[in-house]
Amino acid sequence: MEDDMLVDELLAEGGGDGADAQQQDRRPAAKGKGGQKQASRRPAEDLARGMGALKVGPQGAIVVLPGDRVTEHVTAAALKLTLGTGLAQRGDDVFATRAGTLRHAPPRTWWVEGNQRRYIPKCEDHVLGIIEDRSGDYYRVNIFGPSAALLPLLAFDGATRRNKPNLKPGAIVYCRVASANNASAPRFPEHCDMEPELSCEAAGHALKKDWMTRQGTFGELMGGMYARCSLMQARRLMQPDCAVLSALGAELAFEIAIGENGAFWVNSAGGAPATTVIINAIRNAEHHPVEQHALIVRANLATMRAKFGSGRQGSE
Amino acid sequence: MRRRLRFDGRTGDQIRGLFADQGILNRADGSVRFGAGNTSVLVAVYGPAQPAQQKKEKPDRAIIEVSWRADKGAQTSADAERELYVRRTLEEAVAVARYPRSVISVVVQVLCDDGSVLSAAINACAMALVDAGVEMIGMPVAATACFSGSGSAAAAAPEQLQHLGESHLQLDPSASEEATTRATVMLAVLAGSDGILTMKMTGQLGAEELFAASEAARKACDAVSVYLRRAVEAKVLRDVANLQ
Repeated sequence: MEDDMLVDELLAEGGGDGADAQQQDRRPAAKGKGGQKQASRRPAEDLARGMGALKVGPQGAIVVLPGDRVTEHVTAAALKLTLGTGLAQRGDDVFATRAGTLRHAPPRTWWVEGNQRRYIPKCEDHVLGIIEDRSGDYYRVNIFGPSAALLPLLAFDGATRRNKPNLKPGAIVYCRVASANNASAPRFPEHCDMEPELSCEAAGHALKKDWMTRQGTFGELMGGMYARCSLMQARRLMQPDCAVLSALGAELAFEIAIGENGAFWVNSAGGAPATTVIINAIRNAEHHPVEQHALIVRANLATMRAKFGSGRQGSE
Repeated sequence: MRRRLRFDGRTGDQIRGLFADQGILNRADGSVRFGAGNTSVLVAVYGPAQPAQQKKEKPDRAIIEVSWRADKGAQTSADAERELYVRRTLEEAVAVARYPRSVISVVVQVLCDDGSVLSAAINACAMALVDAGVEMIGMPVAATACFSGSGSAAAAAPEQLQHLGESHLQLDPSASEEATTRATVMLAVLAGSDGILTMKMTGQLGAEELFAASEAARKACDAVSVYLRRAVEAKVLRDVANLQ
């Protein structure tokens, strides 16, 4: 009996963040946890099974781990659901397959939003790619996903056989994912066992600008520098109220292309120092709370100005 | 009831303190430095990615490649065997059908081997795969139990085995205990489920001892899974705070 209490006490303490199990004072803990032990003999097991014991973070975000059963949360409003990334159905239950927060787009779409670095291609995403080589009618492009993507040579607005861009290996392109599914399962983008196809043509009813004018959204990006970040950071950068980019834009003149595949490209009028500062500020902001982003930008800019002078060079 | 303390002050049913640093490698898709006591391993996960040779790819599922790097010396056959155990365990836990024609590469670098390194590696792989966002059916957790002392298995009376503190069963052995043990049982399970992913036994032990050891290891796995859960939850909430 005493052994069970000791093991349960270890479970109840949870090990802490590096706390040494044997150094905890046993006797008072054993007394206090006695009642808890009777209520549930294997508290960790219940936690792991997700039976009503999922952690709720700020703003009600429910944190899930792979293997958590989330059926009650997901079927609360409707029974006919669309399960997005990170959720899978096994029998009559819905389980999470990724770690992250459980998200809901009413009325019936659920998914798990986690933060990772490897991009899984999805149709109509805007991505940043690096040309790897050219074979036949396609460029092979690295979009930092499970496989390389294919960009047809003529997939540029106004391109013909005689008048098409000539992209060298190492060139940076901003494009959109034209198809990321295999032909038989268009509604399940995770089953992508074919290489995704990209396109630099404007989508749908958007205004088409010839590739030669360089005024379209997509195409080759000249100059500047690219860097990679996590996928959640890339999505954050694309929001109109991004703190880091607002703080940077107040001080420096630059253009930025953000890909949903966790890569972004920056070109600044202030030259290499300003570009480096922007990239460093964005990278640093990934590891600090949102309230500190303006301070980070200010600190990075101060370092740059001490060495290189103001970043406002040339016309804006 | 007399408690039998081990050389570091633990009783037979206590595991060592755990620590985990998640996401520490810049280039890897997922990484963790995980430790139990003085044992620590660094695991990096790359993937899903394209296989180096096209003939290696499988059309309907991902391949998991494990590379075990010991802390000292070149790779031995024992390391190759550990690669096999880790790979077989992860193949049951990772949703490999989600990533056809891909390879998920797991590199285990042992930083310090102070006993129970295989179970520490499996726990670390679980956290690294979660950090990489690879979809998994559940979290594999592992623990090791060993029997100290000499003496044949038949001599251990069943009623002795009921009281873990009384018998020579030791959870999460360190290197010195593993060196003098007569039998070791490593158990890997999916957190929260009743089945077994992997069980590795060495030495001589009787049937009751085996059941006692695997029950004790399962309790240790529960404790480890509580810690993994809290560590991963903390990281998820930190990401939410930084990037929302």
